[in-house]
Amino acid sequence: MPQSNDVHEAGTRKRSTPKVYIPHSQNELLQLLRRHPESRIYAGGTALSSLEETGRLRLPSTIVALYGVDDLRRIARTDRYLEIGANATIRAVSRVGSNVIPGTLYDCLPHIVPPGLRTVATLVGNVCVPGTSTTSIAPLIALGSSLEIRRVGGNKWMTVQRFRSGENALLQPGEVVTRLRIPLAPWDAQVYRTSEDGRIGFAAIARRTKGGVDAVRIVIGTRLPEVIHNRELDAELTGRKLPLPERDIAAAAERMRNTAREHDPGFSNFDLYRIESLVSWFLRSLTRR
Amino acid sequence: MTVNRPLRNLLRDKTSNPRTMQTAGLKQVLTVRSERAHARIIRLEAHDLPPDIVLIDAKSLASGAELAVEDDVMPILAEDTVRYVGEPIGLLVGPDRDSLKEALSCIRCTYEEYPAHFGPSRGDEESLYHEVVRSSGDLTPLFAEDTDTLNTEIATGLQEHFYADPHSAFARVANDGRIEVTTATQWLHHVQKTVACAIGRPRSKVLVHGIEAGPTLEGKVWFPSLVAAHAALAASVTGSPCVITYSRSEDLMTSPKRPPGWVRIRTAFSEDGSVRAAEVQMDLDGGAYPVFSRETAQRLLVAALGAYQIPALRVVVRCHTTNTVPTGPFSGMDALAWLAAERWMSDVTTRNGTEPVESRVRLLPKSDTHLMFDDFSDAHDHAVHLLEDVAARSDFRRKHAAYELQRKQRKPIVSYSQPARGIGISLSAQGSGFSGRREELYPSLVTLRLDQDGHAWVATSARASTSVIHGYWTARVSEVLGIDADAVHIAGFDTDAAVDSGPSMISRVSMIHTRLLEQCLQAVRKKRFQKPLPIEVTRSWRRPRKQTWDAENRTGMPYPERSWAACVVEVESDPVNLETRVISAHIVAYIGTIIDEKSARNALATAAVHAITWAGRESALVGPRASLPRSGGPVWFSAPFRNEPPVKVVLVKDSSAAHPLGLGELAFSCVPGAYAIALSQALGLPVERLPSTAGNQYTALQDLLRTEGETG
Amino acid sequence: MRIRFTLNGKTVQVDAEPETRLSEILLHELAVASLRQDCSEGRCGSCLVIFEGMIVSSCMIPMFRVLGTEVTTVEGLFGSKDLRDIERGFQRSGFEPCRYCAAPKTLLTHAIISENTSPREEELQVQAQAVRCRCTSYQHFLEAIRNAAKQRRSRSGDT
Repeated sequence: MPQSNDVHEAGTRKRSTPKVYIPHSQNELLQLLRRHPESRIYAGGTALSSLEETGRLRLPSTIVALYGVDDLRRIARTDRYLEIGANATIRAVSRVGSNVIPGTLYDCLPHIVPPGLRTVATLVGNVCVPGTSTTSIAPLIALGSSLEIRRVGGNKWMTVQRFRSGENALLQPGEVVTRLRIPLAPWDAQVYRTSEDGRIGFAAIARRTKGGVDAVRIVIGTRLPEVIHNRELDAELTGRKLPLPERDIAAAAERMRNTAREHDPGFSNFDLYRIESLVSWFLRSLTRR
Repeated sequence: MTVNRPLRNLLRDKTSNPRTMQTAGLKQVLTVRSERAHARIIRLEAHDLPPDIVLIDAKSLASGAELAVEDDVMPILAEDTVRYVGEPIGLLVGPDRDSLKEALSCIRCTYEEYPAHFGPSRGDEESLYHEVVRSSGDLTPLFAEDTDTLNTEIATGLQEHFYADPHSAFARVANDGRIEVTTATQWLHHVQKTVACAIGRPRSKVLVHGIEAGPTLEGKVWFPSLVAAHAALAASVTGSPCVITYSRSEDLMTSPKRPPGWVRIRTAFSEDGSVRAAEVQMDLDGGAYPVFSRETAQRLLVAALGAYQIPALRVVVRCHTTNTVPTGPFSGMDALAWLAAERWMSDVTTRNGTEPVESRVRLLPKSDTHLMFDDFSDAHDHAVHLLEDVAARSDFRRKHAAYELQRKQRKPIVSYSQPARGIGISLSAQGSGFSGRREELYPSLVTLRLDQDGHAWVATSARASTSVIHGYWTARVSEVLGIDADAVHIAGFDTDAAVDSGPSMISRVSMIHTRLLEQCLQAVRKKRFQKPLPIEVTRSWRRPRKQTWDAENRTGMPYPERSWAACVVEVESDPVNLETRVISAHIVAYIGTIIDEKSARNALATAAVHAITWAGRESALVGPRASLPRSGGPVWFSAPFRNEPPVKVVLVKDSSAAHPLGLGELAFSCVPGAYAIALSQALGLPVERLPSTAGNQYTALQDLLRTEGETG
Repeated sequence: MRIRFTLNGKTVQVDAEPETRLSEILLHELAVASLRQDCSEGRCGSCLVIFEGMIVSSCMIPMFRVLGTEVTTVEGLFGSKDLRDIERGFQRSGFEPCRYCAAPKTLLTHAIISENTSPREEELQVQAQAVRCRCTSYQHFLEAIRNAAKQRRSRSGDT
């Protein structure tokens, strides 16, 4: 069958018009989700819209849009947490500023969506979209963030790590993520680096005490939905004296490389080299204030 | 003199745009494309096509219809044989694009597959399209067995132009019976010629409205003619106005690219370390239809080993046809040669342990040198000064010595933790206009008319990528004829109003057409008070008599004019991810008369950024199956804008310069060479492939470590 | 679906499917001459508009989202002092975008300096990447925005 190009899907059937529900309160939202468990949540809509070059966006058949629910735009800060509503855009989050947003997340924000979509795309949306974990997932997991999931008659909190590692759908029918909670712990070393080919998102944080490391978390986002996170390695690095000996740095990097290889056998040698190098680089950097 | 176009004029520009065209009965056109890389078409048919959709195939074309540029021809719609995936084989015409996409499922094409060829292997004779050779003396004894030799290799990938607006064309049958076509093009009259050929009408029955193509890096020279021919054929067959608009993906996958190239240079040294001979072989993958490849080959030949003169040289440039997307001109048609020349020069200086600036200056032609190839007789006027100037401004000598010391002291980059730096210097020239007699093959008319009401009209189809040139023309006409700038008009960009000035490429507008206008102005001034108004004068290009170009032996000055630039690029390579950051780029250029200094500097700086992006990370990932990576968006948006380096541009002022020279290609010729040399120094291994992505560098470093391990 | 919204200060009403792109309606139904459409993925910035006070790629906004909102294109700035500030700022920088990106770059500049006449450099650097046309360099565009902001500040007496 001839093709015009590979994005022209030959033989496409006529599509039906999507049903759109626009609630104006959280209560209304939950009721709608109960009545339409097949519906998909539309926040910024930038990931939900299938990218094909026609005059219409291909949307799921039933969607419930969040933009009418004002209180989901809220960004609140307490002594211990930063709470971000499901409808808060990436631009709104970045405007909170680098003095409040943890550095590893703040540095990641420009990489989540193209600049022209920052005003509509949401941070919670980025967490909820299945697919790669190279953007905000790694920093949020490193920071120990969790999500509030609501449904009619109940709510629960789930860590982002668990949310992303579920084998089933990220949300059950009738559920919606309403808030993201990021602990504001005093991490004094925080980094986020992404590779220019977008295959790796590296987030690492550490808290240093006089002469040693009080806590370390190293999380790597990849093209898979789940991140690479070796908790045992984090635990082993905790409590170590600084500077870390070179052989220990090399051993830690090697372990992360092995974890990565198990995580995704499709990693190239270059990917594994980068993962190993990033871990070494971060651990060496802990010596420098 | 302010020559920029006011922003409000740009914003209120009402030029028809095929994408926004709204006409009663407008039909959309979708190109039906080959799925095979090389095959015979047995049958193309439509089953159960909706009644409002029509399939047009090659049978609807006029007899002998083809798109031709010099001797290079390609079918407007393939009828018998397809030569690349994505080649147009038919057109679907219907009410809207979405319906047409759905209707693609009704089209069946049966093929008999032929072997396909996706890239020339070295010395491949079967795929050879044409070859040019330049040679001086017998090189055999100079490469005797005991001679000390050095091999340099460099390869470049397929390159996309990345113009802002994907191809589009609108066509309709006008009230006067003519076919009226609108498209963005750099070559108005070629569109007219191709459309006339496609529909079998005389050229006078085709009216083309051009849309100024803006900065295209030569991406809209000939391909718009094909797209316009498709729109015109659809309009002619259906009798309805038709529009064809490529999506970005379609454009990326099927529009012409800069051909990938491979260069190998073998150098023979004398006992004292001086170069005594070199053999250069360049192979180009011209794709299925290598349009303009003869000019590209000629320019590569002239620029082999850059401006450097050595006692004996043999150059072979071979262009191959393969079963990949067609190729065409790209800003800096000879950039591959300049890149290779500078990489070669870097290998020579590294081998001899000499200082890069002095090594270059030593091999440049001097005023009293008898040149074996006389091409660069103008080099001594500019090159030495430019090299010294750019070296001084960038602190090149000190930095190069320091980085060279670091390079020698350290192991390859993968085994240490701090970023490594390198710095490179390069020299290049840009020949404006076509080479040799080819410039006279193309029309280059400019007409100036002074009316009785005191208004002056410049009629030409030449359009520059910025408004600066037209601004300059307006200012010159106003100044020479003593009339108000508001009374100077550049005639409309259509085939009725504009005379055929050939393709607006390789700086022909700033160099040739500007000079022709000057000649028109002097002629009108002389006649002004002797003859009644209106006075109309037309001038066309003739090669100056004093300029000699021996096409047979390929000696003399090949271009009407040449501009020069020297460049220094400093880079830092991060051992953590092997990504490269350009710390700075300096360019010192000689461009003759400077029309508008700020604009010229900005244009060169912008081009330098493009060239760095090309050298560092960007190649069009268009494979033989014409597919693009969909994850994370097409690669063409990956340019690291935030990491854009500061580019400092200095223009050499020359009060004796009579004319402006071209500058559009200078950065593409000089920046990649300096970049590759700088990166080679930082990495501690010669960069042999551009774009030099982090992944490429990792592979090269691993190879190096493996070789070092094997040799102990 | 009948959708009513405000375009450049005037109420307009169109019939559109809920999933139709806003850019499609602006281009083909409302004939907004300044608008371009290129990548259809929200990456290139050709179709930027100001939507509910925020700059956004209109190709990624479905029409159901547009109901009752305010949309501004560069036509909405014609004749305004705001546009004159931008024009002067661009001119001071010798900045001449091409005819394809003149409108989105102007609108983006307007959005940035309307929000803050002294935009934070960090924020400016992220936002200025929203238009990907390569006719000018990014550094040059930044300089042009800074100069436009300076014009706006001096007009509003805010130094």
